[in-house]
Amino acid sequence: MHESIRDIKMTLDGDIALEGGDIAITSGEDWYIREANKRLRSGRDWKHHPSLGADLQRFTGEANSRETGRRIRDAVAQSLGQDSIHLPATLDIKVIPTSKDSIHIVVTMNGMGERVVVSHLSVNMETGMLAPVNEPEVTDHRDEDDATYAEDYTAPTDVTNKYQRRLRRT
Amino acid sequence: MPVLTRIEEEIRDRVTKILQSRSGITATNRGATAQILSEIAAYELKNAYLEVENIDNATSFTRATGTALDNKFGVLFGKTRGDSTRAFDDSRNVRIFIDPSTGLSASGIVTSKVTPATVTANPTTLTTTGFTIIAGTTLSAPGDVLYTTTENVTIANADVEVFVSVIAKSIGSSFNIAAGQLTNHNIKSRQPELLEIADFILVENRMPIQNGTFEESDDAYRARIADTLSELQTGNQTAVVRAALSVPGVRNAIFVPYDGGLGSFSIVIQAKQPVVSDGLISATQKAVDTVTASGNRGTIKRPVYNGLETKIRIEYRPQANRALIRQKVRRAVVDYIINIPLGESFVLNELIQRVLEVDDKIFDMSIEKFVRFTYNASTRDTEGDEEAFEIPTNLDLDSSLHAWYTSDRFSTVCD
Repeated sequence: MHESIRDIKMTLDGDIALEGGDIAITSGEDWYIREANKRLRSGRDWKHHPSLGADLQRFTGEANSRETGRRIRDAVAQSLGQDSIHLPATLDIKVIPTSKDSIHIVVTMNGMGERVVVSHLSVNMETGMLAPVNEPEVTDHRDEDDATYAEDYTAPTDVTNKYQRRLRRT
Repeated sequence: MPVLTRIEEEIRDRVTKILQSRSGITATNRGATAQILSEIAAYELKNAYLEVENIDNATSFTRATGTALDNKFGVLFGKTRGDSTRAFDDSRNVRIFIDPSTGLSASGIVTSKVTPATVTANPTTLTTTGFTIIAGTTLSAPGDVLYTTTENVTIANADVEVFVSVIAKSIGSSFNIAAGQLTNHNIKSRQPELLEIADFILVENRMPIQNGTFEESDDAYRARIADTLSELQTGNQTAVVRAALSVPGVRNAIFVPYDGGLGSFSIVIQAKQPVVSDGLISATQKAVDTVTASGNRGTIKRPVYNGLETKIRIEYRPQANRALIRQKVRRAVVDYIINIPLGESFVLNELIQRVLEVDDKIFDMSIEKFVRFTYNASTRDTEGDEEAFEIPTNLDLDSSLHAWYTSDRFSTVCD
């Protein structure tokens, strides 16, 4: 999916990425992950496209309630849905309260037999701080010589929910 | 040659195309990194193009406006932009007079209506033989147009009137007035000693006052700068015509060579009001004299006014608002006649059409009175050589320097 799309690569912090002293190029799934990251971490201050950013900071200070969660989910859906750049895949957006003053926003992209976590952000509702949540590492044993593990894989031990990256089965 | 500018979208599309063809970048969605960079570049380049265009405009004589015109061209030719001015009149135009219905002169009205004690108590403005109206008295016209008198004037002995110079309270052409519009004064509140006679003191302006102006427009200023070289030579036709047009209130000026023989010329001026006032002629004469060549004589004239007196009878359809229609018809007749261009014929059918167009409730019209006369703009009256027509007709003027004139006074409408 999205392999035909090529763009200048940006880091998750919003800088232009360099590779070997040259401007890096991104495409495919990685391109979409960076596009989604760009939108989710932006406000409404883009000069040419003010409505593109999700502007999650505007929820800072609000009660960490079901209603706020619903509104945050709508804001994410509205932002990522613009121009439908995720097509032909579909998006699944979850807002999960993880403590009294924080939530996790998990966006997964489903399509063509693939399920990819596009973004996993932790949002502090009191300070408005956004922080990416690293997905747990998985170990694929299928290529190992040991026949015991040839047809199996090891699930991560610290999986916290079903939305975190899973090993793809081919 | 004007600068070819590009709009932001054109620049952005061009940058995108270059990126796609040279780097293989294909992302064109909103928010794509390459697109953002293209948009930033396009925005900045657009501003650069605009700046170049502005500089080009400011340095082009035909397109420069505002301070660019003042500083880059006006200064170069020694011409400054015309300031806004207050309307004024210091000719024998604005008249303060005693109500003719009293039949009294200045001394008569004082002795008959003011008590001796009041006269004694106000020796500077009241005597037994007359009274003084002090400078700064406000005269007003409809629409809150205010003028003030600029001098003390005294009406004494057998006098019944005095002329006073006036100036508008503020700048701009909105303070220009037609003849007869100055009708009120504040003598009663300003000079309590004249309380008993203030109601019998009347005011009028016999001629329009029309020399108030706003700041000169870019186009007018540009045209004046363009004529600089001709003006610098002075004495030529452009110089004297431009001098006449520089007087506030002059709408048009027509040069007539050799009007009084060799070495002479006339300039016939048209005013922004229906009639050219004596004050405007005098002001224009002064302006033209400053550029007239030595030994030549230039005379400022007003057009010869051909007056038309009409009486129109209207037939109405049912439910017509007759009073209102009569008013509108009168206005339409006056508007048509005074706006006929200099030297052009009066066309009867045009007048009829204007009248019938006034209201759907007009069924028909007939002209009961149709008289042509010579109108004297100085005395504001007819000169006696009237020509009445049994059957109204089209009328020509004797020359291109004649004009048509009428007013509410000469246009009546009846049922």
